[in-house]
Amino acid sequence: MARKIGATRSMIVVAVAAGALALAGCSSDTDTAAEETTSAAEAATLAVAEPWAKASEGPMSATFGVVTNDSDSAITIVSADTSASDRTELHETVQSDGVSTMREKDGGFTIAPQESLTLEPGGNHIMIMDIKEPIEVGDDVTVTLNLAQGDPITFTAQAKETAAGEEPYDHGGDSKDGNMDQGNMDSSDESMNMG
Amino acid sequence: MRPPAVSRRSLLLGSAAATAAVALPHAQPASAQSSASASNGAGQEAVPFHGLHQAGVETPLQAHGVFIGLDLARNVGKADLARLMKVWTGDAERLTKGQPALADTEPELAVVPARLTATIGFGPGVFQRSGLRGQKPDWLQPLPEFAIDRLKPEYTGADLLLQLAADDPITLAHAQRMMIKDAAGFAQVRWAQRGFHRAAAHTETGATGRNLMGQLDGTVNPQPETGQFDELVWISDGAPAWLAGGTGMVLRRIRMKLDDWDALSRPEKEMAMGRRLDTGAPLTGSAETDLPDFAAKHNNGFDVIPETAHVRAAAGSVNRVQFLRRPFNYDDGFLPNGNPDLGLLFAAYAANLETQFTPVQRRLAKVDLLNLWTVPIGSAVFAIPPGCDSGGFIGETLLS
Repeated sequence: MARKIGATRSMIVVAVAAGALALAGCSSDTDTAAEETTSAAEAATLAVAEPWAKASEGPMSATFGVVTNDSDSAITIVSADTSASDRTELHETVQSDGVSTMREKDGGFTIAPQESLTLEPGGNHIMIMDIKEPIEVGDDVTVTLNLAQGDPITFTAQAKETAAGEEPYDHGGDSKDGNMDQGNMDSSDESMNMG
Repeated sequence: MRPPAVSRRSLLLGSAAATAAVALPHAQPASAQSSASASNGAGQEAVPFHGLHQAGVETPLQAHGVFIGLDLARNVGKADLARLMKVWTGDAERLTKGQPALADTEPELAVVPARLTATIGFGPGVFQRSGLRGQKPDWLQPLPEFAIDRLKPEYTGADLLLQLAADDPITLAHAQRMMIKDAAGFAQVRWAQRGFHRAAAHTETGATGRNLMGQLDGTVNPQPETGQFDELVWISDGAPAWLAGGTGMVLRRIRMKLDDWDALSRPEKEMAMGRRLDTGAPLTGSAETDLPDFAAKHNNGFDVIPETAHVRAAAGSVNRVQFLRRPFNYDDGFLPNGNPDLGLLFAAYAANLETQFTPVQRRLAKVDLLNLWTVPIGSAVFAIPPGCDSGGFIGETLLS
């Protein structure tokens, strides 16, 4: 669902950007042309710094980094794909009654203009589920962020060990307890071993 | 505070399939940034990690250093070693720039680069792994046993060397913590030997350091970025080919028996060394860099520089520079008998240890008067692979 909306918005942005470029093409003023190119480039620009992934024997891993929105408008990450699995979720970690729980982030991560989103163990992160084979320390994981505005961005995350950020996973079921025994997955899958 | 837009834009990833393995300098965790901006600027000097050669050899001495010897886990093979080298390379790239490592648990400690260098070496054990046999340089083997040696296993031999040095001890401790943590599962620390010089602010960069006997130590050294340095230190051709641009390294832990040394008069100390304690000049000269005149004699016919003096024994019949010395002092408290546990972490670098270093050590072991007050208690040899460029990793010429 989210993916579909993202694709629609993305096409709109691309169309606007193409229009701007067409206008620039009509102009003989080089300064204007440069300005228009900048506008087009800023239609959707995220930069990812310090990307890394959690080494894991499976079934789950996660990827982290600092995502910066250098454009003048908000950008939403609606989904992610990785080379490590076919199943990826955007997760947030929330505090409730002194307990940290991670859950899928409704609507994805929206990053305000000139702001950064930090993805880190124990915080927001991109969850990689059902990994195909163990992710070993030093391996590279290719990550693609699908955006509501503009083209996807792809980066490489080096796998490292981390002992941080071990939280239970709330599947978002109607039981607020998020009781692991009630989930439809094997309990070993549900325990989000981030360490 | 944000950097200029132009530098941001040059690193932006706006289009599909752009690859973002690059790090944005401004995108550290906010807490780390604020610590950096609070710095007064001292300690912000960074030594480039990338290059033809690894840093930490030609680099002027830093105030603090640690040599860490690790043994590879039994199941570690060529591909595993490559993964460790990629992670260590990534750590070193960031930490030497004053940026937190990936997954850095204490990013606030990374913000002072303080001329941090990370130098990686391979011991003989690396070449017993499958896929790496036959790649060992002939000279990479334990030094021959010398009669003066009292080697302790806890300071002797290792499969891997991680040599870290910086002008700031916190920077050094943090780099050590991150990189050793990242070696978990690959290798276990056998020894870690910490050393030091005067604080960076208290000495001229590149000046010869003093050891804890009070001597200037490292006078006879090739000068960085000279043809002589290149010839003596860097391996220029194959044998084996992967090591071109690398060097050989020997680390000797030499305990000083300072309580006994103290019993000597100052002239006796200078006779044992063959140099003056204050200037480091040879007893036949007036400046540190003067060449010793081994033929000079007193009026009574005795040699000015005695037969058993350290400088004469080290020079032998050749009397020229043979290798690079880059020692650190150590002071690890006191022995059970109350004597100080201190001395020298003698680190030497040469293109061929067997032909350049071992003959000198053999002569010293036989005749050097300083042997009365010094005891080698640790010894290890390593091949230091060449440096790498951005996108590459240390050891890639062997492990790719």
